[in-house]
Amino acid sequence: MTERDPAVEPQSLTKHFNEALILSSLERGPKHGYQLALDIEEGSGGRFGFKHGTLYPILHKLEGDGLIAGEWTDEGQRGKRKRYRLTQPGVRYLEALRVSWGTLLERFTHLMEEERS
Amino acid sequence: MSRFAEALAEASSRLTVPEPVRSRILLEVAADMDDLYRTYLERGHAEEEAREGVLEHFDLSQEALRELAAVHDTPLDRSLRSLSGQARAPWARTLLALLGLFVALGSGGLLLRGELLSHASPLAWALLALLAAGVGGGAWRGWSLRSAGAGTLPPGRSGTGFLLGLAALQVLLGLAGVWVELYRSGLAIRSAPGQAMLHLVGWLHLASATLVVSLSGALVLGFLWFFLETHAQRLQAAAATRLLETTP
Repeated sequence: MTERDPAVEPQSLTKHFNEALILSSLERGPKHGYQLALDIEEGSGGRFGFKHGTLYPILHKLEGDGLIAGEWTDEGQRGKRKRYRLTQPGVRYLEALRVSWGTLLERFTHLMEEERS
Repeated sequence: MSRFAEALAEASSRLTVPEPVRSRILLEVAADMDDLYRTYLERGHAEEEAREGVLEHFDLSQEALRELAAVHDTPLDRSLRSLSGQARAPWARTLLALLGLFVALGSGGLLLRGELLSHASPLAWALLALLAAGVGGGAWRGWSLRSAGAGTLPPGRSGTGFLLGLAALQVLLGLAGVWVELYRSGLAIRSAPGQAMLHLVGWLHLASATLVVSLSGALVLGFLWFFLETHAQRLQAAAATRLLETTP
């Protein structure tokens, strides 16, 4: 398990953006992969559409880093399903990510306003 | 039994990760595709519309598959696989069987006669208890795999990793026993320097007996892990194959 750096830098915006969306969706409760994609898409009013092709590598990386945990459950006739939940390190990382995003957006807005004035 | 078998088979052919990871990924994707399809139907979409929606949503592009491979197939994984892959060859299996036989005949006979235990460190009893726990746990896991049958094994962990943990503990405890006895021999030599050689020979005897118990136990647990893991992987691969072969 590797220690993750929550600092949001311009060159890693997409990565941190996707991670933040996934982790905050899991903060609202455990979900299957397809539920995560739907939750993010619907929660953003269709603005952040998440293709599963993009979703799985991020989910598996976060799982490997111990920030989320995937558990296989037997759901009767539907068969085996993998469900993800946020772990304690994941909760801490999400908090740090929120602070990092806040700082970045604040600086960005400041720069934009400065430009206008 | 996926209605998306064709799309899954196509993704499978482009997914460059080893088994059982490939099967696990495919089973996860298949389950999610199926659930999303049901969700679309529940929301009033027609069957064909729902099917197209799912296929569009699960666009497993080459880049996505490459990223998945990067997550699951690290350089360390590849080097470990090159080692374990050789164990599937007939010559490697024969060698493993001969090694197992050698361990069983060599240390097993001595253990049964009680010679090793009488000469080994008292820690050897803890090593034997660990071995018994490992063999018991392995037998239970083997029974669970047998009961699960082909294709019904949960596609997550195989549940055999504890055997490797116990094998490592066997080696560590054995080494700890050797070092503790060396310390005790050192103390004995300090109080009776004239008998130093006697104490050293005694320590060597005890250390070798302890290490034979420890390494034999670790080897037995390692073999058990290897055979159970191979069996579990076969079940997982069978589940994935069935999934891809069956069309609705």
